[in-house]
Amino acid sequence: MLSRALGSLARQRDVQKLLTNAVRLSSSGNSSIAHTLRVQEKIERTREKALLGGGQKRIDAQHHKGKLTARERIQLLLDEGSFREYDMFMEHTCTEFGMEKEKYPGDSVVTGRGTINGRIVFVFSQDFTVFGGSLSMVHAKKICKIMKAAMSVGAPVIGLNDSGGARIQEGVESLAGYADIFQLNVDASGVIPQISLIMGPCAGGAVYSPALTDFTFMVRDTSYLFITGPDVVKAVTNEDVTAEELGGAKVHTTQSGVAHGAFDNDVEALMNIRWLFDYLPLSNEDDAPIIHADDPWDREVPALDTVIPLESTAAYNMKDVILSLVDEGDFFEIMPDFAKNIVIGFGRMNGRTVGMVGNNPKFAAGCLDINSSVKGARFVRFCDCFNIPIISFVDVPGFLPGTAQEYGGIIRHGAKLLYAFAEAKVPKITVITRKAFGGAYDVMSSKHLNGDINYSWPTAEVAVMGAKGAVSVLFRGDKDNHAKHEEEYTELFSNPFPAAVRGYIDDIIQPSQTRKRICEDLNMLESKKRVHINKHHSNLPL
Amino acid sequence: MPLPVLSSSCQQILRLTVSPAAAFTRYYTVAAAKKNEIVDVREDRDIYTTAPIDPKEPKFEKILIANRGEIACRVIKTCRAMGIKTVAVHSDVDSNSLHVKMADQAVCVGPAPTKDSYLRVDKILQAVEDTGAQAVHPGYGFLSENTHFAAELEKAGAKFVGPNSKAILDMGDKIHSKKIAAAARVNMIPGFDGEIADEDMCVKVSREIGYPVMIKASAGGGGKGMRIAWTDKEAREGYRLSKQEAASSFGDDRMLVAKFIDNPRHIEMQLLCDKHGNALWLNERECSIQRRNQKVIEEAPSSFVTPEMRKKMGEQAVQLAKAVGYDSAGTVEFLVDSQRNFYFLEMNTRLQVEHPITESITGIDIVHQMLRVAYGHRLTIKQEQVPLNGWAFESRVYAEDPYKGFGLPSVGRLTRYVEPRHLDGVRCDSGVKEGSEISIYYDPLICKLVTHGKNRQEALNRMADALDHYVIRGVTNNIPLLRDIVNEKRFREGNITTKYLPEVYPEGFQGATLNSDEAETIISFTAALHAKKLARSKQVLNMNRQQTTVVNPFSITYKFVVELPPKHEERPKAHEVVVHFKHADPNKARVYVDGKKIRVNGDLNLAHPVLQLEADKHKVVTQVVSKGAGEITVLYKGTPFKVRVLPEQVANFLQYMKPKAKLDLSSVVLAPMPGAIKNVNVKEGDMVSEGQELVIIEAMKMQNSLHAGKTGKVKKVNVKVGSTVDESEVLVELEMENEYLSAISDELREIVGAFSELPLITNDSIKNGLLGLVKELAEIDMRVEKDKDVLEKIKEENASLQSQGLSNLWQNTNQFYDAYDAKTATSTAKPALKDELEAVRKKLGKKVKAEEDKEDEEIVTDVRHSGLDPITKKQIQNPVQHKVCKHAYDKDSIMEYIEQQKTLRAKQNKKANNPNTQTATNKPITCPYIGCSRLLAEDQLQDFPDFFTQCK
Repeated sequence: MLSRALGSLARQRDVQKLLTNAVRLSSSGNSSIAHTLRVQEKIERTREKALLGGGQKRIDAQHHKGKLTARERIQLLLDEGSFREYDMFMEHTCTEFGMEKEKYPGDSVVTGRGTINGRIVFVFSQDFTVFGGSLSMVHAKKICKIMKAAMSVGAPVIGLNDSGGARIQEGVESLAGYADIFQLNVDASGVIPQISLIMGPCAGGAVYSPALTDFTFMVRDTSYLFITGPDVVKAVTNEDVTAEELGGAKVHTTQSGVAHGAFDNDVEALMNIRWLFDYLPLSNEDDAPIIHADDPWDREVPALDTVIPLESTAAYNMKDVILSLVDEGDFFEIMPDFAKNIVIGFGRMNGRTVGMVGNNPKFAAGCLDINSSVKGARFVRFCDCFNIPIISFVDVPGFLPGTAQEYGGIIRHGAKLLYAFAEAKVPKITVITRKAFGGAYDVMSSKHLNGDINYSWPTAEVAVMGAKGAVSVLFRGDKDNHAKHEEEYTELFSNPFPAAVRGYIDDIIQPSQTRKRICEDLNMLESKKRVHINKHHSNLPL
Repeated sequence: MPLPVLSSSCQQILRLTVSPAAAFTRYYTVAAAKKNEIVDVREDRDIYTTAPIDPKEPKFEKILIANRGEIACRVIKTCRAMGIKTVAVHSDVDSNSLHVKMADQAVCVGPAPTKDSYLRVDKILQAVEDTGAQAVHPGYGFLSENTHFAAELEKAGAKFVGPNSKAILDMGDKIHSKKIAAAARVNMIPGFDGEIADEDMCVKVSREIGYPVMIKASAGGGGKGMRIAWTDKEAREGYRLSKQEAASSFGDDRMLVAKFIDNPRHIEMQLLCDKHGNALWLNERECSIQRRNQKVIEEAPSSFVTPEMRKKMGEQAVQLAKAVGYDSAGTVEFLVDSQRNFYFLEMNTRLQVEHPITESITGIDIVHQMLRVAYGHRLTIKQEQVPLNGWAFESRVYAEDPYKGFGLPSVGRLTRYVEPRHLDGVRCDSGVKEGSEISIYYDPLICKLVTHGKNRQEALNRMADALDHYVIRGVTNNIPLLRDIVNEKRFREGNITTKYLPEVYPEGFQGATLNSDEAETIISFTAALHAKKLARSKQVLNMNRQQTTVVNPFSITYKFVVELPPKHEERPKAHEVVVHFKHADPNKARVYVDGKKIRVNGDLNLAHPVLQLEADKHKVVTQVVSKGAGEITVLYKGTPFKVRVLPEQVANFLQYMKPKAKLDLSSVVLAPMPGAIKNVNVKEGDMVSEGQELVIIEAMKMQNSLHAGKTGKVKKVNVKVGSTVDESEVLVELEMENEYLSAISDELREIVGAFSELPLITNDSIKNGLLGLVKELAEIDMRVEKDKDVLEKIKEENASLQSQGLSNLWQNTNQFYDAYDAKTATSTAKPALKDELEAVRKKLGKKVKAEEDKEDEEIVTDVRHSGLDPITKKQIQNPVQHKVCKHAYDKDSIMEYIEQQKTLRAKQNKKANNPNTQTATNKPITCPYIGCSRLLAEDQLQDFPDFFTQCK
């Protein structure tokens, strides 16, 4: 940084010297030389101005809030020295309200490309120090330009959002800018991974761009996402609510499910995005990335042999199962605090990125409800878009019953997960660890939904329902002998055999062998063909 | 895997062994196949040379082991070596545990709680009968010192592997044992012989002996039901808690009190006796490193004992054994003072937890000898033949959080578990394997890690190495503490007492402290590991497009900013670190830490549980616990360090990142460990003072009382008696005090503190009154605004108050109020505030005046009132006083008040429309004085005179 400053000083000195020469020369009538030098100087000056954004005072204010500036964030996100900026000299075109006098080169967003661990990525980073990061037409054009570029080469786009909203002075032009971005978000969806990191306010129409991207992350205490701010809420509904309560990271990661994760500060957030990026392919034309793994692919995991409690109603943590299977126990969990009864996230198996989906009996018995279905469905569809094999761990007692769920549309939302698994054409490997009851058995990447490999552990129970429920239906008239019938039912159905003899599971495997078997299968499935059915697009039950 | 063509029967067997039902690891299947053969699977079997197993000697055919965990496994191993068949008993949650799998036969004796399974004498006797076991080895704990069990067993015709019932009875009862020991001319500690009947007697006896005293259960052992008291108050509390614990742990709640010796060492003598009157002492063990009277690290021999002393101790121990007709393995415990005087403490009539270290230095298998002796054989060796070979240490590896009181139990699954058995001179006695569950029902012992060396130094070095190689994941454990002790200077010198831990770690254990070299070492290898991780991510093996940009990532130079975890809140130092790999070799990193070059060589493998590296030729053993974005957690010298390794660009930006506010722990009471709630002493709405006991939680049979972190009102009680809780679960929430208010109340405490120093005010109620007043003031303050100036003012006032008397207080307070008054008058505060202030001022004025008057008359009454009834605001005619809070009221008005409250309550209940609503009916009626929450409990209103006393 210092060297750069010194360098520019030196350059300035040189320019000064040349300028004096030029003045001398111009007096002798050679004006074109002076012009060239003036232009050079102007470029230099403009570049310096662009680098300062909205000025040192605003930068200090940003720092004071515990936030970094747009450029600092890009510096942290990308490999050192890899950033190539686009459109640093673009300026807004607004002439109303005295705006023509206040112009900043580059306007309120920094765009460009660079690398993360050597792989290409396109980035835009909204600059809060310039007009509060508000979106002007120029701002939108800059973003659209890099998105188009990213789509044409097949590289992900990461957006760092920190914007007060629309540039009110520009009126409808600003709104048009938003819509242009939305259109490109949709066009790029499924072509390249798109990640949004909300690092400041993001309100009104602006929220829909992150919502259209694949992943939205937030920074705790400094970022907000809402359609209308607390003031409007107060005016319309007379509700007293703070920005944090209305759209802070906690709300969106635990209640609304809008955000896929939250981090403590800018540095931590950017480091985590780098980590996530390592798991993702650059585009839908690339395979899930494989890196060298230190962890042996055929490692036995003896701890899994006892992970299922002896008592079939006792809970255990499916995350333990996933952590002990993936390479080196590294697992990037998506939505860790929302609908905890399903665990989703990225890990590696023998170096290859895989998407993990697991019912977690530790929370709400691992049942499927509205939130967990939607959470799982979107993740499965992401994996399917980007060639990431899906490994499912099934321990599901069924869909959650009750009026709250039915009124909320569990049928509609549960169908999403079913649809997503059925539609997915990437390698699908399923392990039934314990319960797989009722319709939820079908949904969870069963053989019937074109599961490629379906295993069960010896503790698996595949049935329409549990013994108690089944007996109370089957032997309604014979209440006295329920205990006996339950025993009978358990003997018949509470084991993997009914499914295994019909070929609905391919093998019953020892839990300790699971990693080895999955790694072998992934190798085998590497050449799995995607068969496309000709249609415009599917019509999933949104 | 293609199977070769086999005969059908062979295929059948193969199918069986790979069938899901055979969920055993290979080791046990092999062992099971050879069950008819004699297999010596004892830990460290090569050391048992002094009295080896004689295969020709007659022995039991089959024995039952009435225990679980490591000791059951330990006994089974010797049985196997001797060719004795074994029967394990287990609770249902233990069905899959190691001791069940190792035994030839297993019997389930009940559900998880020990009193329903391992302590069920009838069920175990039934198991003995059903399996035809000829003898029972009780291990330690559970039924090992239960004479009723031993007697019943003898009746049923089976042998009890342990001493005869009379000896257990004589020695197991600590009162009786002292009498016998004294008669056998064993050195005794001054104390009181006899049972303590109640709290008062406990206090009386304690005073006679002189504090400090130790209160313990007559039937106790292992630190349970045992407490040390330094004051009358502690004696009472200790008596009560210990008695409860004794009742639940041993079913016998008789209590003792003994002198507590200062600066003591705990040294014990291992004995071995037979039924023919022979008795041997097998040298001493020093078990001084203890916390809450439970042993942490033991060694044999003791570095403090001289050969003469050893002989004297051994002989006294043998005298005692002979006096009680002892006929098995046992231990006589002594307390030793700094002058090498030793006093008899107690005799343990069982196999001790720490017996392996004695085995290591004597080469005698104590379990083997117990089984022989129980069968009736004579001891084959003489006292002169008992050797003392080298030095041995035992570290008790517990599932405990060492950062909380040197160890609070934790639970969990051993998701990764590797014992360091492959190292020289290391023995691991454990009853768990990878995947085992450490539950709240049983002892949190994971393993007894024993190392043996030719001298103390070697044994200790081996212990350090063994601890570094020990892999435990999924369960919080005490290895950080053990590892730190092993290298601690005082411990290395052998300068230890039973107070070692609190003396060496006065602030509690806080993890290993690093010197600058060690810090550099950690920085260097974590940076190297991180560089390796980055290099690996850069090398995508299947990147089909954009291949042209790929370079060998191991030839790149990596620049980082590295931060070690912060100590004491301050921002950690950011180190500039540069890493490159020599000749692009991933296992040869050259690291420059702030410019200083460190060569890190070795397999930089990110998947291995234990890494053996070299940092500048120094051997480094470390474990990678977890990796995250920009951070890596490693175990170094036992302690986990979460090291941040960030790209170099970060250096300038870290300063802007704000630290996150921590949860204010003083306003919530968290469960420090998983366990069951034994007692809840408060309910919602109660006022509690700082340090007041709120909840008693029981885990692993230990009771812990949890106290309020600050004075306040109970907002919410989240638990009931009997419920089980997880670690860090919020049990009780206290009213969130405003930051400002709490700051003021701190000031307030200072004022009150200052008063207690002053001779003028000896009266608690005055103090309380002032407390209440200043609190009210604080509340008013809050209503105005958070005004820093006011706080400053109070601070100033306090400074001057420290040295001044009460009249000055009055003056100062007046000034303060005036100042405050002036301020509020000009401010935008509500006019009502002024009146409130006025009222407070009046109150204070009156109070001080009353106090002064009383001082003048030299009459100190214990009444707290201003002469005015709090309800009617009239002069009190017929004064009565609350028994507890000492507030006074007019008798008629208070009765009326209570009646009023009652009707009001009844109305509210009706409104609630549910007469059964507990919360509604239980809404307490409290003393009408502002700020006082003492109950005017309903049932006590019947006998009014008892509740209120007539005032003078």
